[in-house]
Amino acid sequence: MIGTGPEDDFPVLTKPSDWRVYTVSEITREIRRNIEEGFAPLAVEGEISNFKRHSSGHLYFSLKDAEAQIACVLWRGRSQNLLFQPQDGAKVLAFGSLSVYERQGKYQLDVMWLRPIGAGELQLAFEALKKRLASEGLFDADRKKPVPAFPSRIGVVTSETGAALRDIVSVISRRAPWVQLILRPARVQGEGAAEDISRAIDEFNEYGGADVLIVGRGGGSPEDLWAFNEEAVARAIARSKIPVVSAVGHEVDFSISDFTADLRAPTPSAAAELVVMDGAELSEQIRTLARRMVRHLKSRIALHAERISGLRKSYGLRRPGEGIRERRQRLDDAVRGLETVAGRRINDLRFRYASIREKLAALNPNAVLSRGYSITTRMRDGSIVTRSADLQKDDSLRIRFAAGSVRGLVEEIES
Amino acid sequence: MTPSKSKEMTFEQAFQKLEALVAGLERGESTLEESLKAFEEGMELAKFCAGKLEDAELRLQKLVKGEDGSFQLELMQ
Repeated sequence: MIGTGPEDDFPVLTKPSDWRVYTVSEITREIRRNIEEGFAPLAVEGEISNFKRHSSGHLYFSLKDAEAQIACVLWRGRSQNLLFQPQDGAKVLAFGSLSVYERQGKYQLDVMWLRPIGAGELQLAFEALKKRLASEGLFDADRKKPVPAFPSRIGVVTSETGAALRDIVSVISRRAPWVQLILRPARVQGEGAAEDISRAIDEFNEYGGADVLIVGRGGGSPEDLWAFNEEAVARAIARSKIPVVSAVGHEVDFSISDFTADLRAPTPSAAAELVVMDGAELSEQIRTLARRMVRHLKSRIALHAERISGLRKSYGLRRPGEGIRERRQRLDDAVRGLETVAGRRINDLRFRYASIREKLAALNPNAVLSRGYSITTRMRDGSIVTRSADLQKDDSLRIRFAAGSVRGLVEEIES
Repeated sequence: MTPSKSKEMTFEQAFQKLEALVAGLERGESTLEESLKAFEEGMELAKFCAGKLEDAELRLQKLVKGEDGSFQLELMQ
C-alpha cells in the first residue's frame, strides 16, 4: 500500500485510509450484485466442454467458443426436462441468467433451458429421445385412445396468433360449425414453450370439457418446431385422458408429439378435417339412413298387406277397434316424419301408402285375438261364424284364441 | 322416444343409434309392430341429427384458468 511516486504505475496514496478496503466476501458480494443485477436473462450459444453430471443430479459444464468459456450449471429440477443427453462437443443454446458462486469466486450461467442447435445435433437429440420414449412404450399402439367420431367440444392448444388457429377455425366453421371450439393459448416456440404446451394439455384434462384435443402449430424451422420434440410435451400427451391429435408443421415434419399422440395429422388444417366429419357428408348419410328405413318399411307393409288381404278373404275378419285407429294414426305420423326429414322424394309416399293403409287397418288377426276376441269356425264346412243365426243346436265348433283353440258343441241358440 | 329425451343426446349417440336401428330394421327379425316403432324412432333421430347439423355458427372460446384454479370460457372473436 505504499506508493513511490507519480511515475509509477500505482496510484499515489498519501494515506491508506484513502482506499476502501474490502473483505473478500464484501467484494465478491459487490461483484455478484453487479453481475446479477446488471444482466437480464440471456441466451448463450457455445460448445459444451467439461460436462459433468453430479451424483446429486445437477449438471456442470462449460460453454466455450474459440476464445473464451463460461461456467454453467443446470440444476436437477430442470435437467430432468432435458430432451437430450448433453455431452462434450455438442453445440447448444443455453437460456439462463448470470450468477456468482461466491465460495469459489466464480461467475456462471445458471441455465434454465438448454437445447441443441444445428441440424445434426437436433437430429441426434430427436433420435435419442425417440428411442428412450419408445422403449418406455409411450408410442405403443395399445396406448392410443380412439378419437371420437363426432366430437362436439374440441380443445385446441396452439398460439393465439398463429396460422394454425386460423386454419383450424376456417376448416371447422366450414365443415362442422355446430361444434364448440375451445382454445387454450400456448407459446409454441422459444423458452418455456414446452412447459406451456404441456400445462395447457393438463389444464384441458383438469377442466374436462373437451372430447378431443388438437395440439400443434404451423410450419417453421426445426428450431421453431422444437418444443414439440421435448419430453415434457410427450409426457403431457401420454398422460392426457382426452385423446390428442398432434398437428405440427407440414407433412414432412415428424415430431415426438406425433409419435406420442393418439392420432397424427400432417398439418393443423388436416387435424381439423380428421377430427370433425363434414356436415354435408353427414346430412347425406342421414338422408340415406332415412331412405333405407322407408324402403324397408314399404316392402314390409306391402308384404303384410298381401298376407292380410288373403286373410280377410278367407276369414272375413272385420273388427275395427281402438288399436287399429291408433295404428293408422301412427302411420300417418310416421309418414309426416318422412316428409320433413327425407324431403320431396318421399312426398308421394303418403299416396302410395293410402291403399296399403286401408289394408293395414284390418291388420293382423292375432293382434285382435290377443285383446280377447276369438274366431269361431263351424266344423261342418269350415266357415267362420259371424252370426248366431248361422248355427244350429249341436253344431260342432272350433274356437280359436290368440294362443290355441278348443272344440265344442252349441247347446243353445240365444238370439 | 319423446323429443325431450332426444335433446339430451349428443349428435354422436343419436347418429349411432340411428345407424343401429336401420341395420336392425333391415335384418327383418322384428314384428311389424316393432318395425313401425323403430321406424318412428328412427325418423325422430334423423330429424334430431339433421337439426343439429343445421344449428349454429362456430363458437370459439378461450379456456382461462383463474387464480383459484377454476376454469372459465371467454368468447373470442
